[in-house]
Amino acid sequence: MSLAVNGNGNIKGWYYFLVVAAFGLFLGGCTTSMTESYTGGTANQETVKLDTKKARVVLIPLDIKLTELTVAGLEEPKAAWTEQARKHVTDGLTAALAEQGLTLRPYKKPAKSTSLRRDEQLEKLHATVGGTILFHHYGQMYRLPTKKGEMDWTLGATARQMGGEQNAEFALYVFLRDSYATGGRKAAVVVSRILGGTTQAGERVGFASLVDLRTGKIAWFNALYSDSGDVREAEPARKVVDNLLSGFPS
Amino acid sequence: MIGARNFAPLVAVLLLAACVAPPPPVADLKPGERPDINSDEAGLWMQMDQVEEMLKTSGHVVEDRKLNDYIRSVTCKLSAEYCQHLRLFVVQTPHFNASMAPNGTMQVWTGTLLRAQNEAQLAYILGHEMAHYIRRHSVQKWRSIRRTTDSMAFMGDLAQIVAMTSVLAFSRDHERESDDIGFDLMVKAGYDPAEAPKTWRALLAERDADGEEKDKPSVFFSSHPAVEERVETLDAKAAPLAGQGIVGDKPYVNAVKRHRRAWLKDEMRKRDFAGTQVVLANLAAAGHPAGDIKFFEGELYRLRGDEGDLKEAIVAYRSAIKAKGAPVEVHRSLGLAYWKTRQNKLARKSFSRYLAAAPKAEDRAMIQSYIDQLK
Ligand SMILES: [Zn+2]
Repeated sequence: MSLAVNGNGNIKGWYYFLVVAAFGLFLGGCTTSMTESYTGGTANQETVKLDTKKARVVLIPLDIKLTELTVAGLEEPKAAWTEQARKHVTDGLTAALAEQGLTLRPYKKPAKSTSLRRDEQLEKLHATVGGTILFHHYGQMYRLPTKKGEMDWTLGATARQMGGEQNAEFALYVFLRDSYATGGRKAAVVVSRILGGTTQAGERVGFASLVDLRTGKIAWFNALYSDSGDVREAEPARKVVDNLLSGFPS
Repeated sequence: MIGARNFAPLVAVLLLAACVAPPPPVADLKPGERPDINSDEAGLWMQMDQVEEMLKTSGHVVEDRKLNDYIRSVTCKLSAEYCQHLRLFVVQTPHFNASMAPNGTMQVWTGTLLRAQNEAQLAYILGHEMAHYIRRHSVQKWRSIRRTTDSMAFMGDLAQIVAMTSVLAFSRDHERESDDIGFDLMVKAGYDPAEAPKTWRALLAERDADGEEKDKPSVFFSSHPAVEERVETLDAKAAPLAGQGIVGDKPYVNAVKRHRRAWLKDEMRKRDFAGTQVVLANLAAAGHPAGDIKFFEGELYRLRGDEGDLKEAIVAYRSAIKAKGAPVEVHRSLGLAYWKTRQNKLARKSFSRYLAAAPKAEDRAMIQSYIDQLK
């Protein structure tokens, strides 16, 4: 691919690695579905409240990728699955929150390139901060001493500008990575488990954040890890969405 | 990497012939063709679409419209049908590299643009990258990795070595194929074929400049053919046609000149002084203004700071001033070099000339304080 003598031009989404590593480290070969939820606010603050009838919440386009695990455990990105999942999860989020009386506002792609760049940076930052929260809050061993288990994470002041442009008080961000095993992979997992290994047949890692666009703070955060379920179909996708939204402020 | 590394490659090669069947042939990607959404290739495209979005907002992309238009125009001279489906990103990093993603995201690093001497050399590099796209090397490589690892998932370390070795051998074949197609594209577009091997020869000169044996990647684990081999192959191809066609040094130098100083500053930070000296000599040969090149030569000596380097720096700065085209900072640098060699009077004079030439310089107050100290 490259021309270099000693070239190395690989760009990789390290945060995914971080997320999986974080879960992998303390969950090991966990086989049950689990969700964890953490509701935001520092020790001195009230838990965030949301008037679902009035609040203006913009849904940021999902950061989502579905892959297939090959026999050897490599991940093959799947375009068609990703598109299906994007639709089902978006629809699921919209429907689930509508039931709570909240109408999500669609994100308006800014025409100005500086605005677009800022929003994309915020999205990237969310993925990174989200991965970090998982690592430190959910992995007991890796808790940051200064954070003392409190939820005090922020996307910074530029979030305010986005709030102004999108005419919204909150932004809902969702990050989801999902892998499914091929037949050959499933066979490899069976063999591996018989031999006492922890080879994964496929797993889902995701998190959602509600960001207060007036301050940039993450007001609510919830993470999801499971090795069952399917976001490629509407109905099971809705279950995943419900898990992801558990503890959503109201 | 592994304990058995000394004999492993040999074993791997012996096994290779037996267990890795040649991959099925892949047809060229047609201009504007998009892979079927259910295919593995569409997955790779999706992945690279995301990388492209990240690249756009990475802050490392050189957005100068004129430079981008120029490079794009050379791409279109190579192939009018394909160029419109490629997206060029000039990435600010001082190393020699370029890359092509399966979806047509093409990266050209500024270290490459600093090293190319003319349009013909740029055309060869772009042709090489375009060939990766047309020949769909990424998906070929992915399928090769997948097939090889699938068949060996239950085997141990050795299987991994065999798998990786065969995949890298496959990459080397892709590089050779791209060299070949890139060469044909640039010749067909009317460029002087003799410029193609020069790109590699300059890189060899740079690599070997400090006389030290660099840890050359082992034949078995490198994804690139030896540069020497690439030079030989291209030389043989170019020999019967050499000297015919466009070299295009003037338009090229003109297109990159606005960025030369910034890229040279990046280059200096690598602190590969012997290599950078080769780069500077090539820039001078390509027709970049001598004053500027001499200035950076002086900077190189001053930064390196070996025995006698300050004297060399002073010689270089003085010839930079004589040659014209040097940045005003040359007076400041010369002043610093004089000061360090305790030639205070000359130092003061150079600092004063700097302030006279750049009355609004940000460091005016600091330089003025130097002058006062030197009185
Ligand atoms: Zn290449």
